Amino acid sequence: MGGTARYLLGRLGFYLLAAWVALSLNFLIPRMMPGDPATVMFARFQGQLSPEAMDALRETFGLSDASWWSQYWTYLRHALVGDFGTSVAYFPEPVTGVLLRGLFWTVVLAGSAVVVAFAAGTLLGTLAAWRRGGWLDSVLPPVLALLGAFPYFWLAMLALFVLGFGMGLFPLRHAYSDQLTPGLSPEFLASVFRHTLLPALTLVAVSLGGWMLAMRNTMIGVLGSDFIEYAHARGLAPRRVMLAYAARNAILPNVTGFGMALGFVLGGALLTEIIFSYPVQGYLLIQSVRAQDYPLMQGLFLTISLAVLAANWFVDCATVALDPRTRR
Amino acid sequence: MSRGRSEGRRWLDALLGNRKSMVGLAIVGAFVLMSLVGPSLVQDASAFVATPHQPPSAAHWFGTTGQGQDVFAQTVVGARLTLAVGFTCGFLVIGIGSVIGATAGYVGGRVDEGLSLLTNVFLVLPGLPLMVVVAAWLPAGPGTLLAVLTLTGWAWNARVLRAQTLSLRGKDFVAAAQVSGDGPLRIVMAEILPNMLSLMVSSFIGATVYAIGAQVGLEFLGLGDIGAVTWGTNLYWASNDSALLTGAWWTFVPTGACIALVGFGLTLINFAIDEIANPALQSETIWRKQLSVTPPPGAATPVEVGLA
Amino acid sequence: MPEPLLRVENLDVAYLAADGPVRATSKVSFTLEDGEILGLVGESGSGKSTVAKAAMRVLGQPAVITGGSVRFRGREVLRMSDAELRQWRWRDVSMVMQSALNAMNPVMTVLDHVLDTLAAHGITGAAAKKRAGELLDLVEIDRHHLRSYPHELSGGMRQRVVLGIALALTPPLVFMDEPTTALDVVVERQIMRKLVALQAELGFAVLFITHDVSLLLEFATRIGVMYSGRLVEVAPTQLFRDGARHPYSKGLLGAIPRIDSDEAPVSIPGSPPSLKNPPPGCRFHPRCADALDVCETREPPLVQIGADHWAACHVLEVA
Repeated sequence: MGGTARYLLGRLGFYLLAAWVALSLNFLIPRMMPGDPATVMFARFQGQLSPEAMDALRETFGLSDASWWSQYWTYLRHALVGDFGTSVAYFPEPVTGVLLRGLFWTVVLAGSAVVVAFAAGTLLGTLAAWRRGGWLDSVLPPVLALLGAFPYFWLAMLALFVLGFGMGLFPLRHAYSDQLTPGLSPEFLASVFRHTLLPALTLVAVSLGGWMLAMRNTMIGVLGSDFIEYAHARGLAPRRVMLAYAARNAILPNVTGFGMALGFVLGGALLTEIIFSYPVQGYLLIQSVRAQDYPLMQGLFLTISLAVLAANWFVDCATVALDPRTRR
Repeated sequence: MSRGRSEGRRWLDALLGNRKSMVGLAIVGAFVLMSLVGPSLVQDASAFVATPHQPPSAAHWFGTTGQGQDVFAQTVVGARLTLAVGFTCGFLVIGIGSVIGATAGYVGGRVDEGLSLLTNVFLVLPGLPLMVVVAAWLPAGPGTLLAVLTLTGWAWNARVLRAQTLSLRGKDFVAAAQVSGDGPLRIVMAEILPNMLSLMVSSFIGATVYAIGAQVGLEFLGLGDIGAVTWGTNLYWASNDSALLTGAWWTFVPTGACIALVGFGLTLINFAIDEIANPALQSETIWRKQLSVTPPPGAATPVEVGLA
Repeated sequence: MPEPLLRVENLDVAYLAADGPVRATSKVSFTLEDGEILGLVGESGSGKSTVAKAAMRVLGQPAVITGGSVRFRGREVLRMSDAELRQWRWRDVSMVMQSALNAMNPVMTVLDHVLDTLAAHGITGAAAKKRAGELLDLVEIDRHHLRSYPHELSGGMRQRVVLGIALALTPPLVFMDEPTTALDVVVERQIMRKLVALQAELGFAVLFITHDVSLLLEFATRIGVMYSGRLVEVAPTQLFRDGARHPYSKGLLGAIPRIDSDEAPVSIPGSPPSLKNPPPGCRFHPRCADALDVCETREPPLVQIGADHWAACHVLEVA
């Protein structure tokens, strides 16, 4: 077990390094960009913000006279305690406060969509590879590929238009009805479910094909392995061979892909959230873009990055649990 | 070198004989043609020609936008910049990816460790938020889009091509070139890269699909040049002019369908390349075609007297 | 005459490829009696593994059996349904594969493999667990390795484990496909001795596939030689050692290094033909020193040339 712990610590080290890169990019980007957008921003907010707030912004965006090193040091110290400065659009609320409000809903929406798409896609891919040449294998891949070719957010627009606007089956915006107070009441949960269903379904629809094809292709490779032949030779039931031998091994590379895809799906989720005015990171993101709220934008980039990195580490732990060869 | 050429020939024949790749090539070819000649055949896409939000009619095939522009003209004209940025980004991504991937894979050691670490860090950072942060600070326009799409897109290809280089490095023809005194640069250029051409082509296609999708997404957010006519800005304006709340479906459906068709066409070509490159997939297909019955999954060797 | 344990007659197997089928075996015929060890020897690509796997019908794509018959105690295997095959496999005939590492599911423990096998044949619960322990005792592996994963065992231990799994239901027949090829010589000898001891104790018959004819001379009851998809000679071991008749068999024997002789081993000139474009007539004739004109045009059938001794060679017919 010592080897396992060392492996997982090594991965943790890698993600910490990646987090440091994200933090540093966040620091460098505004300072390295041509022209001087920060000055433009100050011109815009001149008069709206207190002099203290302006000073804080100057510090954040490298317009103070201090050396880069000392700025960087201050920045890292602040980031470590979760201080990403003050939001301009939601002034005077600190960026962290604005972010935390959205984070939960992103987890609800993107998390459920990713898990459902992964599970359903993997199952479909398993069946398609097992019954090669069957209808599932011939019909679904092209259909899902076409579906996957639509931009995430465009499909969301269409779904919202047809099912929400046209047929009135789904609410048009927000995560829950604004007549309800958030809580654990059945009405509130039902409302959350109704509001989440359509955005989640569109996310599932576009990402399903990728999972299915990945699973199908790895599983076809696994089906050529000796251990499949050996399992058949021992007279095992086909279902057992399919699930415990073929699918169980074919899923391993896909779990690794799961971590990688999280960042990608999250990007799609951000855009989908915008369409549905879902009050989460994506919605905040576009608000911050439109208001040129750079502190909020960068805080978003950081929290989303850190969330993805953390998720990846959990995926690594899952891989260790699933594949005995990674344990030593 | 002759090996590389005959390999290319074999690929071309296989692609031309494959139904999926033919359909894909036809779709993509049609859109490329449209983006080249289309803009000079339709009316000015930015001109305000009619009452806003007119449904499709004989005068305006796809209706008009919330600003009173012709949607058909916008759809045709939008293809040019969108596809140009998409394909250019595909080339940049595959160029950077193969340089970094081949270097890491061929040189190995510390260089590999460093480059792989960099690649993995970029792979694990979420692309869209990073793009947004960078794009927001840069002046809006195609140059910015190219820069951020390439910045966030190269890592995946570098990783795939590194793995392929690693497996090619051990092959006999590489050893032969090393023994005959060829330098590393020559070996990578003349021996390694030509032998992963199919992988590079499919990576290029994948990168292009990604670039078109991400580009449209960024422009939809308002991070492109909203004065230009592209598929992304078409959707930005559709959303901005409340197409969803006024029921003006024609302002976003044609553009979305075009994006999806191009993506689907490119994906089909990649499916075909996959089929040709994957011997397991191919041999199984051939086997099934020659049998008179469909064998149930993996149970028993089929018996067909007199087949061979 | 009662039916033998296994009777293979004129077995034809083809691999279907894009540019037409490749005939991996043609007209392979032999019988196997209870308690016997029949060794099949040949170079790689000679079709020896194909014969065993086709007889069990576990060959996957792109293989297809295109003719012949395989009878187990008189029952036609080639006409069994999927369900009948699953019943028959392992209860009546089991198999030891060349690489136990590749044959075992990498995410399953040894115990899982044994339990899966037993459960497929109706043995579950405590009885199955007890049997798993017994099997490891049988092949002399410590019982705590029931909890081990395949990659945690050494090559020799893995081969012992799959030998134990093959005996799980004490079948009368075991196919062994190069079970010791991947091992070093010392471990190979240990496992072969264990195998022979178990065979004497339990009385199962073995179809033993190898490219190492010296191994067969030591352990087999009878030896069959395969060349380019055909069986070219079959004889009892003693007879084969002293009086192999087919030029290829003689070549195989001549290639064995001997301690008790000053003669240097002689290898057979040339290389085996491709199965895609085999030479016409006898497939061995391009490498045969004794080849006649007829060898280039007509294929020799497998005929009886002595008591329990069969060979396929024009030169022998003429003599």
